[in-house]
Amino acid sequence: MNYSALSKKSKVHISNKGLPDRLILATESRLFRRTIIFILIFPMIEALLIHITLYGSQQNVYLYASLFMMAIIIFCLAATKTLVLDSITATSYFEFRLFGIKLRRTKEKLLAKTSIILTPSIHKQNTYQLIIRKQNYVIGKVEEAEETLLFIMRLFQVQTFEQVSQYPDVIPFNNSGITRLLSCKMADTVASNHAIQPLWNSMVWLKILLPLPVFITLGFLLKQLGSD
Amino acid sequence: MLFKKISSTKAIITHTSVNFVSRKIIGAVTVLITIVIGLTLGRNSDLSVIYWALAALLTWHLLFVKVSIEIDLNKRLISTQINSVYPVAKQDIPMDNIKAFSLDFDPKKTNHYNLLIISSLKDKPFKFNFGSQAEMNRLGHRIAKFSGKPFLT
Repeated sequence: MNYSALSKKSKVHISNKGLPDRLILATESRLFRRTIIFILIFPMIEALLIHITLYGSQQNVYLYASLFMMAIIIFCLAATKTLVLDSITATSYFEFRLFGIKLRRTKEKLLAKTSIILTPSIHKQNTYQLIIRKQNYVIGKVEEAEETLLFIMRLFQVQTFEQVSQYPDVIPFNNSGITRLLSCKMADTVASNHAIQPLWNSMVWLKILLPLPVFITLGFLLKQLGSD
Repeated sequence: MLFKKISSTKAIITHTSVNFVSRKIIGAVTVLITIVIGLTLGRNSDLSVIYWALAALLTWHLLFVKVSIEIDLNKRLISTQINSVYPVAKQDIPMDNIKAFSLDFDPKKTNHYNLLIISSLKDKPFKFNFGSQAEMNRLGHRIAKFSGKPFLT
């Protein structure tokens, strides 16, 4: 399977860069860095605007403040922490880069001991994800997720598991998965006839209002008594 | 929410005593307010009687509502009952339907976690209970251990 054959959603996570030998994946820290950038960019623009409109020594405070925030934003933009699967050294590790320069490698682990798990995402129905070294990569439909897993399997010798066909048990993934998964999904649709009934339905809301007529008549009675 | 084991095959989930007492106190205060307003109804318009009735309804439920969740391993049922003098709602979850328990974070509210029941891949997870992270974690672990199902986090 070629890179170009992968689905659009898995290309979000898997970039073309350095691919035959190394697979570079983003980590959770990217979201954290983007949040910080997003939060800081507004006070920075504000401080810059105030800096332009003020005169004298007051200017300096806002100048330093905006420079400080700009420095943090530039650092957050430049620093990246990625998860790398490397087939040359047969290891997987986290890599810290600043301005594209490699600085640190941490948590190195042999590829043969690295495991990838295909699981359904709890947060969204019928969405599947890959978990590699505790990093979640939400992909989409089960076929797309399986395709991505096969693509990674072909390039790197990693342990692969799945949590789909015998949910919630984790079992080793085998290649002839798609038809089996689809058939098990069919079995699930048959089984889901006796789904759990929700506690709160319209009948219950009506039952809650049951004492209301009594209270209304009581209220009018009290009103009659009071007005006499 | 507190998990109480009654016997080896039976357990109940109840509110904490602080929760119970504070609800009774708030209920008592609203009872006083509705009584005082009820005595002055004679001077008010017809529409205010309807409002008063709605307030009285709320007070009624504050004072008398009782939620009991019972886990019975013999009947293989988790039954939830809501009573407020008269029975309001009843729900039975067959335990054979349950595959696992899980915890889910609700991003719209702070420190609001849902305890989910996962019955199959196809179905949406069922929201069983909600509360803070520590509380739901503890409750989930204990239910899962008691009923012999896995607890996924």
